[in-house]
Amino acid sequence: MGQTEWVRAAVEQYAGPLTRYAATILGSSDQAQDVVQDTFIRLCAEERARVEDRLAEWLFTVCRNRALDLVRKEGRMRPWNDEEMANQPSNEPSPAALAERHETTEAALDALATLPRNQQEVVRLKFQNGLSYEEISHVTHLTVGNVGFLIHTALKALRKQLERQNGFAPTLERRLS
Amino acid sequence: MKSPMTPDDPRLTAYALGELSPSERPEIEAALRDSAECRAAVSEIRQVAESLQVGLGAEPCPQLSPERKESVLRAVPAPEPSAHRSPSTPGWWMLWGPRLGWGAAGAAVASLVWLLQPSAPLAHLPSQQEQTAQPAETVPPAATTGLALATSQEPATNAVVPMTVQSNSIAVAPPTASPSAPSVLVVKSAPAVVIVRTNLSAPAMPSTPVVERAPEVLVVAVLPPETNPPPAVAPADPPALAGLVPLALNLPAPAFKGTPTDPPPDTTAEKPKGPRPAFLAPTGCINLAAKKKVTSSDKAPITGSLDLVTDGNKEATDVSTVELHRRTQWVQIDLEGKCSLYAILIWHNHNTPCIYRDVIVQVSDDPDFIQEVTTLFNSDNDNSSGLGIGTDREYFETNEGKLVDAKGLQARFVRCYSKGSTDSALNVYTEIEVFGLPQR
Repeated sequence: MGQTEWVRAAVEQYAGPLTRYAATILGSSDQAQDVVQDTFIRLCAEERARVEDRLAEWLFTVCRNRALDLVRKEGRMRPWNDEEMANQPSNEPSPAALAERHETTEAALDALATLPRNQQEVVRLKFQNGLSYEEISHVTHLTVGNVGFLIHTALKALRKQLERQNGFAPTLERRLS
Repeated sequence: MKSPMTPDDPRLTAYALGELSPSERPEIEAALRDSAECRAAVSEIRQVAESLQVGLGAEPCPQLSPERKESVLRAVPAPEPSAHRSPSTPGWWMLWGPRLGWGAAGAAVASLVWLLQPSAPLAHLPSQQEQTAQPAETVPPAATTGLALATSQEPATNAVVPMTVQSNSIAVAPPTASPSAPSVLVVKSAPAVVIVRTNLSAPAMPSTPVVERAPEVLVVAVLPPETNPPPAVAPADPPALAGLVPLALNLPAPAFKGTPTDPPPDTTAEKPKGPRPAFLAPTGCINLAAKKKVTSSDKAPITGSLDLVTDGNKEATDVSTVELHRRTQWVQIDLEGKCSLYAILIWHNHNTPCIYRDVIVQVSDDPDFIQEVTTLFNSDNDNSSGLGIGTDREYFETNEGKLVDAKGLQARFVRCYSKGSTDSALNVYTEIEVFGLPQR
């Protein structure tokens, strides 16, 4: 596969997920597209052999760095583990997507939106984009242990919230009560 | 004896998500055999995980617009016979072009382009007959610099026509296709930067390329030298001292206009006060770092590669920089022998007027920087990088780079530290030059 085909295939596969991810950081679809376009232009300048076997990790890392740089430049930077971020709502899904969602799924997403943003981010990288703990640790500059703890904490909170709503997680509720 | 595993153990989550290594699994599997609670917890974790996968997977996933896709694919470099990156593509026009509407500016490769307004006839320039009498082919192959002049007779032109550069000549394209296309007037060699003024009262050299509406636009392009000696662009000649001459520096094009805003309260940086005065160094100083091997505390840079630090490309573009991870990171240059060093120039990321934190410059003969290390510069005034309290001022990134006086010290290795900037937590390097006398 030539370089152009390789980049084209990468754009086809990753542009959507990257734009969706960048939008959660930036809160703007247009800016997310700018960042993703910039990410792929950087990919063009990279040595293919250097990034080929870790393409997803590389793209998410560069995309995240560009998005955070933009946030900083615009003076909107706030620490991600800030308590006030705990109630930050996530982007509203489309009505069609909402209608298709199973009740539990909907409840899980609603609960996710109440978590701190650093937990939301690792959960999205893991369950929306299929990255491993190790890949997430490279993207977010956290240790693998930190990533594992954040995901564990997030899932624990989600199980607890779902249990309150519909008796979803009896084991956890017993242990924590 | 180990306490029994609880359902709240993060390793259970890692196990349920397939994130445990084979060596870690037996302990969890034993706990699962013993504890129904742990088994139930794993089952619940997998249910939540599945709900998240389904729910998050159904969220809208907007593709890039066709225009954006096209612009990405246009950035794919054409295949080159050698794997080495072209040192000067894309150049400054990629940064300035879009802002000034220079959509057509494309392939020109020039280290410096000044746009002046000739309000007087080009009396002192060779006539067209003279030009044809001295064709480009007569330029000696060893000529270090080429000069091309072009005028446009069209009023109010706001576009730079594409120029292609080959060796010592510049071809302006299309030559005759459009009445607005300029024609090449002069193609000749020149020993260094040549400033052409057609009206002595006109401003000499604008600090940045500016296109103004004018009946004629004169383009002067100086090609990069084919070999390494940089053209002299020192702002002013200080009085000569015995054996010392102003260090000739070849600066990249400015990537932003104007001066930075007021420094943030937590910095020791001052606003730049005009061009840096010339630096005096012994005759014969050259950039010893050119193409030398670079190592780093960051074994896997985020973007770019370490060779970009000494590849000679100082322009503020994405392809000329290496981006290291956050926290304190260093890059180190091996000069391949003990040399007398006089000046170290560092360009981190001069596309915005940011301030790099904890910039520390050290030299040593020890590649591990353990024995006999000399610190030449240290702006870490709270010792947050742990190399001692620095008393040097922080500074704003500009196209001038930071010049650190190496005081004639003899050393083989140069190491530069930094810890992110006011712009980003990451550590970007565009170029480092080390001026000194080569090993005898």
